[in-house]
Amino acid sequence: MRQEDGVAITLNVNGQARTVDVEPDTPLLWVLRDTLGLTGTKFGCGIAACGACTVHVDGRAVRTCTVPVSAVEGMAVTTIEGLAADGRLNAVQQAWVDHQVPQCGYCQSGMIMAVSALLAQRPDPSDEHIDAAVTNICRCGTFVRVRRAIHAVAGGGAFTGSDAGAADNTLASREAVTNGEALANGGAVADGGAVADGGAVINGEAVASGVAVANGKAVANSVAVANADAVTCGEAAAQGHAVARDDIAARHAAGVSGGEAAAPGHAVAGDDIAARQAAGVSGDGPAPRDAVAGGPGKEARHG
Amino acid sequence: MGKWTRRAFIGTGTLVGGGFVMGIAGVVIAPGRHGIVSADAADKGELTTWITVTPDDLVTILIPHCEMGQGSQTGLAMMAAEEMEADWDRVRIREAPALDAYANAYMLRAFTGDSMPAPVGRAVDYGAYRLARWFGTQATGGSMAVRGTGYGMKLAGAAAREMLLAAAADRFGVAVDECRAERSRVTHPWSRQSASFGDLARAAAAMPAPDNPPLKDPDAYTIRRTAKPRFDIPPKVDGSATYGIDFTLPGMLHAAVDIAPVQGGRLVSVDPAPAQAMPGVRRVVELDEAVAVVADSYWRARQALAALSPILYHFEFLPESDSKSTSLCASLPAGPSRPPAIPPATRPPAVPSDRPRRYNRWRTRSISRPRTRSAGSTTRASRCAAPTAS
Repeated sequence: MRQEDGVAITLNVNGQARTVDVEPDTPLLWVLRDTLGLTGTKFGCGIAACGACTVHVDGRAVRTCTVPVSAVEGMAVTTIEGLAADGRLNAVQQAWVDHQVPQCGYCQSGMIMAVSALLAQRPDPSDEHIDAAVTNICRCGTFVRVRRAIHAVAGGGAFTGSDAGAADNTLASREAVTNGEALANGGAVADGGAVADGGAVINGEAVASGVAVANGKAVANSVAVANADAVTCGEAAAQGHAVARDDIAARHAAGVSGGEAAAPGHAVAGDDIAARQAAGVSGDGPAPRDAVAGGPGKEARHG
Repeated sequence: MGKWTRRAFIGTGTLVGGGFVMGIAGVVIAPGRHGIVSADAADKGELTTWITVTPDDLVTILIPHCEMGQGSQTGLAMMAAEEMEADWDRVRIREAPALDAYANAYMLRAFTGDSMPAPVGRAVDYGAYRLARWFGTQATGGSMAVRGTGYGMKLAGAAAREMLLAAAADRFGVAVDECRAERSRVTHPWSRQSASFGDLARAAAAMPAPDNPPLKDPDAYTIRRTAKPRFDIPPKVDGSATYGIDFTLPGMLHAAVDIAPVQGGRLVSVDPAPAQAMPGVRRVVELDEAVAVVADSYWRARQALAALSPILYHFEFLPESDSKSTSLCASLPAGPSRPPAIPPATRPPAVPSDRPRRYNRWRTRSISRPRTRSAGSTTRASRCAAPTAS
């Protein structure tokens, strides 16, 4: 039983500098929860599929269960505890109260963080934007109220006090979990024991979320395009084609794949939803290495 | 917490035993379950088991059930506050402590409602309470909270209202039936006297809780039949709600478990050395059907578990295993991308042909597992025990 192998890492969490002494590959999630005691961020699947662990890193939604803490050193991390300012809920949180969105509530920290990031970038999202950007999974099935609350924030809609309970067909598939069969949503094609969400195209045994193109056994974060056995924290094997929504993932992918992946030029950064959707529908071919991001792209850095 | 008494029952001798009420005596003497309060109830403004009123006019309703998001805590509070004529804006809820006094009592009410004659119902509630105490039951599930405990909440709210009315009548020097309770105040219209629930709470809490207070006509409801915002939502949007996973104790350790994926499987062997060499690991625990790593954090436990290569047999204890598992294994294509076949755990017993047959359906792929190591597989390295086709 060895002693701690940790190193001192300085984080900026909710506006405060926090120095932690952990193994550098510890996922940010566990540093937030166990080391810093910020338990509002939840552990769900551990493979970046469900989104319960979402926080903001430099304003972008990031699933922390697969992001090593060392990758966010010096970046601004905001958790659910940091959203409210001076005891006042932010607009999304308030809409969540007004529309009585949560049921059990376990996923809602991550849901709120994902939605806040979307609205910061796109103040009046369409349903398609919401579908593409908010791929968090809620087993209680609160998606209808989530969507309603998002539109209310965007359009200043008033709380009616009652839930019409209208069926929302576009979201129905997201909640379904078929028994060993593929679950397809938003044009996804899955083959195998896959649960795919968002614009994913999966050929293999995968749990993918967000905009992923996987050809093989993949567990893809919402930002990865893989043509390899696995893309996960700590065991990424992307073969030179990582498409990252932001530089964290790209940096991470590069770091764990021997520097092959996420080379500038192959890695595509940016957060425009259309670009991500374009990536998502490109089938099982190699990654769209030159996919163009509509947003202000950042070049991926080598880890 | 003070000593618990049964106010309406003091000195009555034999009680109802540990279970359901036996005999007429039990029916007659069983106290109202909601009347069970702590010894210093009057000082605390504790009107019934579930309702406390403090001098600041806050009505605090204790809820003996977990909130899983269906809104039952809020719903139960609404049922009590409605009968009580409380001002909903001054109602708060608190989860009942895990103490005997808050044991479940109204399970049968989920099926009977208020259809039982009052003395019988009272006895059944009290018997159920004694039984729940015996087993230490304070459970939530089965849609029983509102359907069962809701009855008790109505009763508790109505009893609290009657006690407040009685206390006000005493103070005003008027007849009880001339007083009215509304929005956390008791008024006597003719004399234009009024007092708030908070003012009356101590005096009311010293009164006996009526066993069978009158319940409101549903047509007169002002709180129920409306949609009130749920109490549990604000802490769920700012991260402050405490879930089981958020609970910690000083020095708490965490375990990650790799368990045989089918019933009857067992751990054959595991070399603990790789895990023991990892930081924070306290112990590798070998169990009959699993191996666990105990560490100072969940992440470290999980990482250390992933470093182990336990051999977990699936088939050893299954009846008729040899031929079945052999053929199943032989039918599998080679290659790592397929999980080991999981055979039917049991077979339906042979039944005489004159009886209808019922078969359980088994799906061999219904146990899903992550298939990449770093994805936190909990059952990796499971191996088929039967020889594969050579």
